[in-house]
Amino acid sequence: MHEAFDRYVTGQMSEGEKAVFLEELDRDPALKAAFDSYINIVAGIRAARRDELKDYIKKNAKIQYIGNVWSRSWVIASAAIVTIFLGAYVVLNYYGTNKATENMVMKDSSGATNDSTVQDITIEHDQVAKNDEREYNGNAQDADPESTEDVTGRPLNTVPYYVMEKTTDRIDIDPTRVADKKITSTKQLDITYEPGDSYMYKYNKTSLVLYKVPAADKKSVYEYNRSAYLSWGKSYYLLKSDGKARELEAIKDSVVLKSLPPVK
Amino acid sequence: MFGRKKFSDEEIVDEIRGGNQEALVFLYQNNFSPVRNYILKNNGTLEDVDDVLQEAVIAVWQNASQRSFTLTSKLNTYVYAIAKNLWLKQLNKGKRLDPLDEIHSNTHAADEPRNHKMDLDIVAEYLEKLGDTCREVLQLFYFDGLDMNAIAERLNFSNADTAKSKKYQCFKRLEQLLKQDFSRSDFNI
Repeated sequence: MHEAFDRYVTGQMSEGEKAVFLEELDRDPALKAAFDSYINIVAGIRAARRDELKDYIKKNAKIQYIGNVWSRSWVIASAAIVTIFLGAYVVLNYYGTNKATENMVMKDSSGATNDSTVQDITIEHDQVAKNDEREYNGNAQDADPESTEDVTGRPLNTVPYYVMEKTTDRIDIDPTRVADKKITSTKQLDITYEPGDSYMYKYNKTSLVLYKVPAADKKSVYEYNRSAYLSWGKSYYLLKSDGKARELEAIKDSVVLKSLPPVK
Repeated sequence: MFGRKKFSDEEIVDEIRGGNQEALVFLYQNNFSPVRNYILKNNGTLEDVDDVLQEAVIAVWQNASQRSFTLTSKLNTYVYAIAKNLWLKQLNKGKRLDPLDEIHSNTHAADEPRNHKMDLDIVAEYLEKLGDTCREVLQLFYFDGLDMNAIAERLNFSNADTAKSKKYQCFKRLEQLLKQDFSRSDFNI
């Protein structure tokens, strides 16, 4: 009996033998029960072996998927490449920044440099002084108006530039009504930041250069009644548009101040 | 043994007949891409790719283990064809592959009755209790499809009759253990 069962499940029976065997199973309940018991055990043996082989494949196959990435070796290689590029980026940026710093050594009022990295710079002290001198002399034609960088290599910044309509002929306007003034322009004014010993500016309606004023400070420029005013900190500063380097001086004219948006 | 070296189909079949399970891994890795592409294009998932390809290479393992097996195409083509059939079968049935579903071949009966109630895991657990020799004999015969001569050679039995006798003893022992711990209704007797 057991041998017949074995021959059946291992496919050793011919079609004729199979048919006879199955007919016998139908006729003999005890045989059928024994065969069912046998087949269940065989199924368990096969399932165990299948699981064992599957486990072996899973543990040893080098193809795994992590999301959409297929190959473990490719994951490692990709991670290594990304790490190398990131490292190179960090290193280049670090040395790039240091190199820019070399061009922007600050001098205090005594003329001594105050940058601790001065020993590393290759630009001579007098070269830095020449750059400053050129700017103070208003040698604006040296600067490329189309340039996106200032003469020391720092990028240009922009500030909002508002053109305010005069609503009445009278300048004396209630400050609360200033907020209702229609701002007709939100042009952007290119602004360049330069180092300096004192707070100065150069303005010619199309560009503004600020000396010693921190680039990160919030500022705006308003044009009111054909005059331009820089809003910086808690003050307004008149900007004369002759392009000459001038000291920034906070305006104290209350009439003008009332005409401008309140400083926040 | 396999590493990255290329092997001929005959060499792989020889390794399978020698019981080298690295051949499974080799076939799996070599056929992953085409099977993956097919299944994903045909409503499958990444998980399906794993399941189907594992079943396909195991099917090749079962078939190639037998001495009567003759390869009539490239082995990779064979694996791919089995994987495709398995996937289509699964799609038609609308369910995941059942361990009791036998892959139709010229060596295994595909129309076995399935009146079982016995938990397959329980059988596997008791199979372990028999020890390595009994477990291997039973698995090599009922799953890998080796004949008694091949089993005798693989497990160092003196001859095929000894292997056959051992196989019978192991099966009866397993049956007995299961009967002791489970009711007749569990065992369908």
